Amino acid sequence: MSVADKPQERVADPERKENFERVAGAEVAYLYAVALTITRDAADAEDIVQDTVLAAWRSWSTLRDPSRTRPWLTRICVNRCLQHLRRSGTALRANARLDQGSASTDVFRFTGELLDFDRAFTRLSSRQRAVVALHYFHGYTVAECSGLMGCRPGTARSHLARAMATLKQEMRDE
Amino acid sequence: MSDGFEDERISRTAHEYFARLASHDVSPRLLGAAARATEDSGRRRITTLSIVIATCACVVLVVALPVILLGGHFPGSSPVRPIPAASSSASTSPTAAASVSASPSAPVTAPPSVSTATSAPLCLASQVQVAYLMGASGGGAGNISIVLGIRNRSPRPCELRGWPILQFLAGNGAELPTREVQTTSNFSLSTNLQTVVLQTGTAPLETSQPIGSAPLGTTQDFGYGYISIGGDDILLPCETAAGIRVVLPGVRTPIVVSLRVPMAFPTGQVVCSSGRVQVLPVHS
Repeated sequence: MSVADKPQERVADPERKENFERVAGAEVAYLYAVALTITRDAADAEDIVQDTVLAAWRSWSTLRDPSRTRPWLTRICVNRCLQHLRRSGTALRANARLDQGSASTDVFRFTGELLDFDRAFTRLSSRQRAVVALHYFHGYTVAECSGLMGCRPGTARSHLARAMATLKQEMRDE
Repeated sequence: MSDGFEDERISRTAHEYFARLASHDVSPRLLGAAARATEDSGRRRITTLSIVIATCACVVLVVALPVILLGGHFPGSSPVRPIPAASSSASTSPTAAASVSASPSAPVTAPPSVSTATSAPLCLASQVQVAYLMGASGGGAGNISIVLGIRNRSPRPCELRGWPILQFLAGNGAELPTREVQTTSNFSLSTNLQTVVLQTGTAPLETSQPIGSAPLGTTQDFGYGYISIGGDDILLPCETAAGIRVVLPGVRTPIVVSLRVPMAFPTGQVVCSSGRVQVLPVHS
């Protein structure tokens, strides 16, 4: 395969590099919010955003329409969050340490209903967390969530319904 | 507590909870992530290149050392090795189910099938009308979905079973890169391999029916067959496909379908990722 066939391997020209740094740099705070609302762990969210930006830079020359940068970066970020949660078993660990209080969310000082919600949220699977955060906070429709998560709209809808049922149940029990 | 009230409460709490999380300050380290990515990537490329060169050097050394030490001969080998004659017959690979390749772009995979009973002869190209259905197509968040409808215009029922072979075409008829992945599930739909009987007496298919009308699986689609194609419209290289050449399963003659829609897509559909698309088997 020639170098021309692998655009991500091209030596970066200064203009391309500058363009990426400007466009991706402006999205870092947003990506951090996405990662944080899914993982609820500041350190994990930072790592995920770093990883997302690095992956985006490698494929930067394959992005057709710069106006679509945000959905594209969000998709990479959500995928990284799901991979991370699956790999690290964060949900399970978070459940296990509920009795001791969650170190990752201590900084947010949740009390009352928010603390109940935090505990309920940790009971959700990685995909359920993602769809709840993307839909209820970041304002994506279920169809858009499915695009971001790489699943069918029906699957995303089902994750959302199950997540809501779990949240209701958990919050009733608190 | 009523369900509506409870939903409202959870939705409100969720919003407040996520807002609190999202208000967490971004660390200064993260703000420089984009600049660091461009630097790290360059550094990593140099490191990778160094490893490749070092590995090649080691391999050459290991291979060359015995030759140098033993006066030009490998231990246990004859100085001149006979060169085997080139085989005149090409090896024949087993044919995957339903992958009769009629285009240069060979399908990638053929997932397991679910068989159903047959009840009519196979369709011929002359018997069917294939049209792009804009109303059933669409996409979102970087995905695209192209749906082709298949209608039997002959007086006899006929059937189709399997995956079509696709080839995207430019406005001048030239073939565009097409990498077809045969699957039973893509972004917009999932279906099993099934025998689709195309009924007679169905109304002609119309490409530019308004978006949202006659959704699949409702009243107006009985007796038709469908081809669902999923892809993306984000990652380069992208091409505008003015048409698509379709070879229906079990049919020899290709059918060219226009993907141009006046007013909406006058030049055709944008297909990205070097034409990589996920194609479902013909379904009802």
